[in-house]
Amino acid sequence: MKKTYFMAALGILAFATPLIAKPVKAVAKPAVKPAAAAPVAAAAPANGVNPFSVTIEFKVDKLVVEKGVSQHVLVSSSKVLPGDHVIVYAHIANAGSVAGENFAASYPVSSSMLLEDYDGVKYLVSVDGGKSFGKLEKLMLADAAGVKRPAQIGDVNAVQWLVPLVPAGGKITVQCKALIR
Amino acid sequence: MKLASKLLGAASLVALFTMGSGSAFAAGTTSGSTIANTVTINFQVAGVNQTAQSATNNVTVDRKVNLTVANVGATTSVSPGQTAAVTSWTITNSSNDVLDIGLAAVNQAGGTAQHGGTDVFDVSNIKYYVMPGNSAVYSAATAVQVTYLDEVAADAVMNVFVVADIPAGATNTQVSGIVLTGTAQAGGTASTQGAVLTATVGANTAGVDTVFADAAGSTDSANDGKHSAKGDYTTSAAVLTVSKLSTLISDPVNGTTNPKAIPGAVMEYCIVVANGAGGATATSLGVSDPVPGTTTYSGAYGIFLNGTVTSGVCNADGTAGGSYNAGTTTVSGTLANLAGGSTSTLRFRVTIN
Repeated sequence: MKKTYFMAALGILAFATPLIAKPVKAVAKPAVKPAAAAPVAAAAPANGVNPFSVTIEFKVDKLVVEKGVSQHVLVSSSKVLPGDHVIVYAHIANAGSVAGENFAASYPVSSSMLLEDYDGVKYLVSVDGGKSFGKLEKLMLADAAGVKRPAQIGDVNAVQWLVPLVPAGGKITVQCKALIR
Repeated sequence: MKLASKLLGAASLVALFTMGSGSAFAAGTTSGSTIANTVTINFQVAGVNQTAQSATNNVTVDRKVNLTVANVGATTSVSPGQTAAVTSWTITNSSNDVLDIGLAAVNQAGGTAQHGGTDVFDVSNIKYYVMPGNSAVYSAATAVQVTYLDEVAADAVMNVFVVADIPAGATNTQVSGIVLTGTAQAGGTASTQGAVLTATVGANTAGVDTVFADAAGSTDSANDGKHSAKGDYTTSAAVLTVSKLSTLISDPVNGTTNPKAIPGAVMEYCIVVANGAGGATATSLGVSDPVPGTTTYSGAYGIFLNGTVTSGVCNADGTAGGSYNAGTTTVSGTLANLAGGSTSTLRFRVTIN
């Protein structure tokens, strides 16, 4: 059932009409509707602590040269430079005893960043600030004069990972790669 | 205008220019800015929507310093002794921060110059100028002297002019190379030259670190917060030689047939001025020649200017002109502009006393 829900969401994506969105105003329906934010029932244990958590990690891809040999090293850092290649990790953890499902992890992409590893599979993207998500090739933008054009990778301002299941006691990590402009 | 007030003017010029500069993205995200990173998860448990969870991990953008100095155009053609000879440059701030940029031009220490040739002489009295509106065209009338570039915005390309004096002893085709170095200095305070920036060494600090990302220049290394480039002056001078020929025209005994230099003989002097091939056109070419004391200037014949020479012999041509000063017994005249590879003459006659 849970798996069916996820597949159904992807099915909507596959047959969705191309999205038409302005940078600040979407003019089409979302291709994927994330789970509603308002809780209906809590799955927290008796101590009141939500067993589900998310953390975000930021690593910089550094090119290190030692003894004439260069290699890429991922370094956790709170500081970046223009031109840095970075990887953003979202760790979704379930410390409880019941699985969570149908996760939609949304990440607004700063205008100072440019996605580098979009392949249409790992995650969905948004060009309207996260109001709607879909595959980039399905998204459209309209300029101030209403002229539409296909969205480009540089237009992306949010990504969304869909995770069907995080088992009890489990942890799932999703990631994207970006360039600091 | 005094230098101090000119500097203030220069600061205003830069400010005006930077207002019109483009996106900061070419130089990168602005130093010190924060990139917010927040992820939010929405999910279900047993088909029931749960409270969304989110996490934030902001990062700070450090200062990436990168500047480029470039000489513009070809070599600057100069004359020996010329003052305020101008070379044109651009300095680009590709950093993600506003910079002051120190300027230092020095004479090249020999070697191949930027536009060919070998550096063989030095210029002096080096000064730096910018133009109103950051114009790339120099005008001495409106140029503003500066000692550094004030508040150069990220992505800004500044037009800078290095002005120097050429030694009088420079000869045709000689080259003087100079090296202009721009040094990254702290910006942020208009009309105040910031301190020279230093790269943050060691581990990441809590504040905004400084990283040098400049390329190696003509005389500086990569990642040193500086960039340098070579430019040059090439002398374009006349290559003049002067010779004086004398020819007996007649004498009282032999007439014009095999005349001898006896008293009463008429002698023609021809002063030949030659400008060597490749030499710059000589202008205001004044010639003067004291008449020998044992002769008497022939006012009846007069003086002929701009004549020609054939096989080393002066032709009886030219146009009347010039003057004779009886007081100093000196013949003088001004020849027409003389291009490289050309000759011209001044002729007059005397009678041997």
